[in-house]
Amino acid sequence: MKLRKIAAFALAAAMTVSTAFTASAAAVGANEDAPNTEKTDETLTIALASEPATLAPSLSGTAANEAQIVSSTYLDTLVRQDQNTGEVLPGLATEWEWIDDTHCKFTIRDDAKCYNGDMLTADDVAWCVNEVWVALNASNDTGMFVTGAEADGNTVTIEYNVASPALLGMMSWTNFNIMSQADVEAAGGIEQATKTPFIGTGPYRFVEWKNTEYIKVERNEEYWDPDYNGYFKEIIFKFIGEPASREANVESGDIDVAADMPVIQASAFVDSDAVKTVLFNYGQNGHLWYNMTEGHPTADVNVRKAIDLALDFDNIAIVGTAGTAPSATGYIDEGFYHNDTYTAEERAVNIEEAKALLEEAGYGDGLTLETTYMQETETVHAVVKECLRQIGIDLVMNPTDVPTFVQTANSGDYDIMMIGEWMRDRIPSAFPFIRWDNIHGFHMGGPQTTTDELDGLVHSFIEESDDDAAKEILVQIEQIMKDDCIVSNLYPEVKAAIINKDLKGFTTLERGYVNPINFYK
Amino acid sequence: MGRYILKRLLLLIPILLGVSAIIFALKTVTPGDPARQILGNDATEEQVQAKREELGLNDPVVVQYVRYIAGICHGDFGESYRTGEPVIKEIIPRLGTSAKITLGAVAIGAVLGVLLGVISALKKYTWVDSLVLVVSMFFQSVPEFVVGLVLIMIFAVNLHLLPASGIETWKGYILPMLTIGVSSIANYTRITRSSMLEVLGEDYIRTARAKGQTEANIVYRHAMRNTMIPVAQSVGTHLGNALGGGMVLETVFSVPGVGKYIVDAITARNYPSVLGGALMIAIILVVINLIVDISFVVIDPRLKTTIIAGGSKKPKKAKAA
Repeated sequence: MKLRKIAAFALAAAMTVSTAFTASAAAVGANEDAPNTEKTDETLTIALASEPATLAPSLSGTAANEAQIVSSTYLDTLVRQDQNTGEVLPGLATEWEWIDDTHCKFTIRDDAKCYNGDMLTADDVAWCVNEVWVALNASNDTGMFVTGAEADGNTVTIEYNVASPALLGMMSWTNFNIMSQADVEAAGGIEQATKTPFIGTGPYRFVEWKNTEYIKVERNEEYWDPDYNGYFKEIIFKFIGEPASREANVESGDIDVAADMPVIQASAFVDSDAVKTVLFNYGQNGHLWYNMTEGHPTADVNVRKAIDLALDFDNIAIVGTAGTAPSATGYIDEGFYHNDTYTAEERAVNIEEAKALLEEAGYGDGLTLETTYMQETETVHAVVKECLRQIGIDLVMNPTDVPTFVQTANSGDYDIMMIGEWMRDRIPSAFPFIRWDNIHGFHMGGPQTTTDELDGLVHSFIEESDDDAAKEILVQIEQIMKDDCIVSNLYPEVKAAIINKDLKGFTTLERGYVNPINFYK
Repeated sequence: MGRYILKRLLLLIPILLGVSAIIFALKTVTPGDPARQILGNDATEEQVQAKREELGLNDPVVVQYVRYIAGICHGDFGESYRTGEPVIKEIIPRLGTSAKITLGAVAIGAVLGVLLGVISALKKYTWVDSLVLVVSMFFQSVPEFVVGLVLIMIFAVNLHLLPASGIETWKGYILPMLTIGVSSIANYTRITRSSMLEVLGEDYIRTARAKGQTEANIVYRHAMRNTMIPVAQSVGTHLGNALGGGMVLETVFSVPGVGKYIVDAITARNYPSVLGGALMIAIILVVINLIVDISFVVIDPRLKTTIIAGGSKKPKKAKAA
């Protein structure tokens, strides 16, 4: 038993040390290069992890990652947002003005040409908001916080059903894309436009979707933005599910960008001369949620605190981020509204105190807990398992895929579960797991994770117009979460990509999606 | 012969019923809701339930199964949850791609395997024999996806001779074919070697030698044809295995074949596509086996009794003297 324990720890240590070493070399980040200034006839090939189910996600009522990445090339948004500073910049709207907390008036530019040749108008934008965002997307962010829109001359006023300073920035997200009714009809109607999206005013135009093989777009030579230069004439998206194969394709020169690489795998290529590795933080902290539903040992706050004390957050962060970031000291990523909720002493491993808490909870003889996780966090969970073994907790690990992971999270069939929250601003959907309006049936942590007080604070945090006041509210929220040990904050999650060594201009969209249109050589 | 073919084709019915029943049973115990998968994680429980109702997923499994089977009887394999297109329309072109790779792979495996098997038999118990067996066993022992990745590193990354993925040109077919092909070499080598050794020990070979035939003539004109019978049998079996087992490799090489189609459908809980793909492969396996059996009879008429009568004909008892 002792030998097994030593071997397991040695394995975890070796894993962390090797990861730290490989990642300590120079890995470039995202959004760092100067903008491109020239156009060529070259083709850029991007490998995605899977094929999108739709090429016009808002028309399909979804917001799936791959579909967002592809459609961002031909569908524009009202505004853009600098991913480094958070500054909101003009897009299809040249200017905007808040009429009150829930109404924003956008002035629509008059030089954006749709795919069918018509110029985009404010009426088109109003149609898109009412008939696409609201009518087709009630179940996701695109339609959830918008009531409707009304056009007046060259302006359109959008009404929101919630007040939040983040709403304007959200209008830059790819799912809030704009299309005209005439364009959609010319493309064959809503259903056909999801398959052959000959629509949009974007910097590229859809050319062809050869099912299971590739999607091709070409540069829009009539794009309205004179400052934008698309270096590549064509962009081809391919679908290669196996990460090792995606990487090999970059090395062989068959593709230029391997998106969504597992961090551990990508970090192995940091020192490679053949490819360039991009590792970047995108504003999401990983959290370990406790199932606080009655009947689960984790319903006892002493068990949760014991686990929190046993976790070696530094090593977990090294494995989870490939050594690129320290462990999280608060619920929210350091980019926005961050609080250092925990001191270094509080984050230190304390096995004796953890064991005492378990004893107090009646689990002095040890206990078995269960977790379900996605394959890419296997190594993180291996370290968590070993940490918990130190205090007599046997963690049963159930690796799974996305659909099962989501179902398990929603059904509550777990004791602890790792899931991150992306929060780069005070968006209306912030803190989804501790809000009464989200906890219909089960949700992460179970209904007991929240209280009227916590729920009220979350809503105040989102709606507060004063930034400093919002930060004060956040301190209160995090203190309650800390006192009840609702979650353990693990580390800022990192995304990775492997790209052609000559490629520059790796930029991101919201949530760290790779932005296909700014690459150049 | 006609009755035999009809009988074999009728056997498709219980096989397809069995395959579809197993997949339906697996569907009921597999976690992950297709409706949730289609609508996304933000969908409310009410929306998910409405979608389930629309897809008929709230009906008892038996009702869903009977409805599906009734559809198949009319040539309707259902519609893909992902694209809304008829599954059969999506599978047919992918089957063509998978078939090309399978045929190429089997050809590579059979040609190299037979060649090595003959060399091994002719050089029996020498270092050449041992080397051939070790090399062929090595390729059989290493998982196909590892062989695939190694071949990508050699031919695509280092030599830049072949593409690492995709089948836009004919070159794209070579690595998947080679990967599946080399993994089956050991099988053909072993069968060819033992069959060749057995044939070389036959009386008619001794007679040929006694009549002064050259060794090459003996091997390639007299021994080879009979050696090929078990090899041909193995080719038939391997065709089916390669077609059904190419799923992982189609994913590694990003080949838009029926294997990758099924893998993607499983990940997305796209059950009509999983079922359609699996049933198509089952149908093809049965048909391939039938063709292989018939071809044996053509190659060796002595097998007519064994295969067509299923070995059930009792040999006539010799009359007592």
